[in-house]
Amino acid sequence: EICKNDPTTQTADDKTTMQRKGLRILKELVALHTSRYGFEDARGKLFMRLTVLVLDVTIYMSAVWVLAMRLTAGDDTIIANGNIFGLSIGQHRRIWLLLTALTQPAIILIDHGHFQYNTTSLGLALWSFHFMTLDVNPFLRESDNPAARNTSFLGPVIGSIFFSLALNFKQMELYHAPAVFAYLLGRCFRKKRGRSSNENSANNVDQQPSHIIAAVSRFISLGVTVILTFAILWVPFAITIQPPQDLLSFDIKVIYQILRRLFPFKRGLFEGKVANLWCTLSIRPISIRQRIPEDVLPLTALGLTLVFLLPPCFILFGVGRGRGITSTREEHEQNHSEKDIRFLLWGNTSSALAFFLASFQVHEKGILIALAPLSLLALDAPNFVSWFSIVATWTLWPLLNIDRLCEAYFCCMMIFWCTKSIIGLPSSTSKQTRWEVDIFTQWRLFGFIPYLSYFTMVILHVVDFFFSPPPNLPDLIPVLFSVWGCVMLIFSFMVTIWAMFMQTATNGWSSTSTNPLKAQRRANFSLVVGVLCMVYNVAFADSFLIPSISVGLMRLDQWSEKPATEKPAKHSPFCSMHRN
Amino acid sequence: KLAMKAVNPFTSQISPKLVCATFLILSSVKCLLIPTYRSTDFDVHRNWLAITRHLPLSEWYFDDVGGTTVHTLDYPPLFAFFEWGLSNNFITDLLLEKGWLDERCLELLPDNDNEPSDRCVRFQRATVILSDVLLFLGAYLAPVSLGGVYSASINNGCGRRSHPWVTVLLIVTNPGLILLDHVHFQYNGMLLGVLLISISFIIWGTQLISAKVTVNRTTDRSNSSDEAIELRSSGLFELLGAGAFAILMAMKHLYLMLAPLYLFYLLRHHCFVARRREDYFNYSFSFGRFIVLGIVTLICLLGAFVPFIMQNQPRVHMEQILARLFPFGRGLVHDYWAANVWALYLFTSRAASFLLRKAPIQSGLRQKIESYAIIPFPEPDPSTVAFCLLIGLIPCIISAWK
Repeated sequence: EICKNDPTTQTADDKTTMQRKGLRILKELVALHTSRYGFEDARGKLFMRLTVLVLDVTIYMSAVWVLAMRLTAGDDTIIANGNIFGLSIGQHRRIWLLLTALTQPAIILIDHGHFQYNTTSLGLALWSFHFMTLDVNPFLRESDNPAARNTSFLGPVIGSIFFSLALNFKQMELYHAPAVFAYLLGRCFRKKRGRSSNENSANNVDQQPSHIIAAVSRFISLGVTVILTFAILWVPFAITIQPPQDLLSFDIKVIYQILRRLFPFKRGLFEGKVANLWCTLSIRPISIRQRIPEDVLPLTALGLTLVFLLPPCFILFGVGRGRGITSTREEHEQNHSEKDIRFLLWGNTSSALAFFLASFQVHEKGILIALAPLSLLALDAPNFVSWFSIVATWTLWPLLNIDRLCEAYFCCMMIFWCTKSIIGLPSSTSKQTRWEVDIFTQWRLFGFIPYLSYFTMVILHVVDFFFSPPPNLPDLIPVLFSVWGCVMLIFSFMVTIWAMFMQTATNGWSSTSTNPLKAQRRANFSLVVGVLCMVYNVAFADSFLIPSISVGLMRLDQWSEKPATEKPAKHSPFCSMHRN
Repeated sequence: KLAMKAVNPFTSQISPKLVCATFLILSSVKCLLIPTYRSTDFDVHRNWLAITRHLPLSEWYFDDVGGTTVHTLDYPPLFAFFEWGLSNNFITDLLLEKGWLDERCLELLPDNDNEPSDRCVRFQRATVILSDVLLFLGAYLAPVSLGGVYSASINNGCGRRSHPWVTVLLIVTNPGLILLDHVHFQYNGMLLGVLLISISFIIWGTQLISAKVTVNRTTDRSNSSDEAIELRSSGLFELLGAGAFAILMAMKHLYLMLAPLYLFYLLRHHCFVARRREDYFNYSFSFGRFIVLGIVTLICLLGAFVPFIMQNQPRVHMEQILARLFPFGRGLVHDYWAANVWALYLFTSRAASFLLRKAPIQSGLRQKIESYAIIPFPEPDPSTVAFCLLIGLIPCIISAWK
């Protein structure tokens, strides 16, 4: 709106669209931009690309750094022989994580090639995850203040400010919103640390009301924070100054207009060929767009998305509450930050993939929203994260082809691949056994999947390069890309759910079940049931109950559990866990 | 007895996988630099590709596209043959046939009309990227050869061994080199690689010193034995190093500066054989070794000139080549002054003339000062410059001799 009527705006649509879409926070910067129009194209391009670069470095790279330091904290205590570069294990792990997260080809190609500001909002989101999962007050130092070890809600409050900023920068952060909401809701109900467990059991009856009051007050504090942040950012658009009387008047129609621009339902179910469920289902003979009436389509998309969101949100709610906190005194006193951040990152990836697969009006670039949190889990599931990074970049190929970024695509992939091959996979620490949440390590059966998928991806590239499509099917090759991409992304989505369940096994999820093998069996069982339910649901598209039943099934054995007895670990046919 | 220290050239900590991965990463970065700025050096090399493709050998050093181009061939013949190889091999022909490279790229074009197409730029940049294989080879061999030196010094208790990988990385990721080769467009990486290979051979040669011990026992009862220990260098590696350096000089005559260093080092190290008698060493000049070294060097250096000598009028041809290689007509300094002594000289000269012009004195006095102090300073002629250069090289020569 600001730049639309400027007569000096000579440059292309993308500039004005970009400035309308983003930069709500940096309103003064936009004004600075308008004053600088009139540059020749090359310098204007240079300036804009530099802005992306500066924001990338200051916001995204700093967030990745902070999270990488946090995820590898405590690794330096492990003394072991370094690799040929003379690195200690901690340094090696840190460098691996940083390089994986920062050389992601998809992010570099889209942000600095295609030109977007995704890294700013992703960086703000990552900062928010960092603060949200802090269990203690980040401003108190343990050495000075004994109260520094108490549970504090300041972290989530700061995190919610950052998340609101991210959301207001680009509304694509809504892909992360359900996971974040579930986690924060759980955090509201987390029991405070700093009291002895004796008091807890004795005054159990008295604890209940104050526990509820604490939860409600935390919820209200979050709500107030979010509403204030939104208000600060949105109200300036709605306030206009009436010239004759010089009064400030608040115009709600502007807010409605903003919302209409942000969520353009009129544009249709999907734009272009995207590796989405709807795009895959639209091809003949399924043709889902003809079977479902047009006004019902958004609701169908919404319903399916909500169903996909149920497992990660459910787990994140439990994580937020700090499951396992009441079992023993040690667990009660533990700082949950380390496991929380991992759960939150997995949950966000899962939620973003759920939206990508089933939501309305998804753009190809939305895969970045799933990629950003996952790239930080490169130490926990190295093979899966490497594979997913390549798959995500590959699904962007049709878009990059149009943007004349083919060479850059291959170069960035090569750099990503070779950098990891030079550094070499770091060994896992003694705290976790070897990559329990990495499906390609745990299920030997799936070991062939990465290689098969690389082979098929190369085949499709060769087909794209050498063959032109038949005249009656002009869009054959992008459709093939999106269908195969959809298949791989569905697999990735289920792997994220599986990984979250596996993570619960390794982190002492529930108080009664401490048998990790049982939890893994539960995870595998839920995976199989989830697959069946998803197939049924997608095929018939009329029943949303079945997947929710599957979620219930996942918790079924939890309800019917007896106290854990020492059972010999049976070798399940589905899994082969290797414990030293 | 002195034992022969053999150093296996392939014991090192750098695995081939590491070198390959680095090569791929750096090549990807260089590919990303393809659409960046390119200077007139690009047009120069494109013109040379055209000259070597379309013209017969006798006209390579004479042609200037009817006077419309200044990008004439001014590198030594071996580089001209390199360009000939680039424009006349089966890959280039395949690319032209398939239409992935346009014919116009290899045409003789005047300067005002030689805009290269996208594919031409890609083709030429790809040749530079691929020629960097030599740079990697040189960068790999150099620390490997030094490794033997370091391990010897460690055995003596001094010195610290740094990881050879660091050396490789520092050489190949040199930002100046990348900017010059892949943006400005030159082939320095390849030449630097050849130089490093030659240096590696020389360093290997320092470690392979054989000793021949001859003991002459006399038959009388004094029990004094006449021991003679003869030390000589292995010979082979020195010849290889000299040959590689000669090849390098035949590719870019800029490396002529290093020739005195090589000359005096090899003279002392290779051509003199030391014999020890009791307490002192007796050096003797081995004429045979000198001849062999000379022959090898001359073959490698002048071998590339032979096809040009075999043309009609060889003397005129050689004069033309030398005129092209050493264009003294271009002046003492380049358009953009390099950071050297002559730049200081010229700067002082200009500053002095500026000051003299602005000084508030009469014109008669001014003219006197001008003629007395010769302001502006006279421009030295090439032989003076060469003389100063040789004087500057004296410390280097002395240390090489020692």
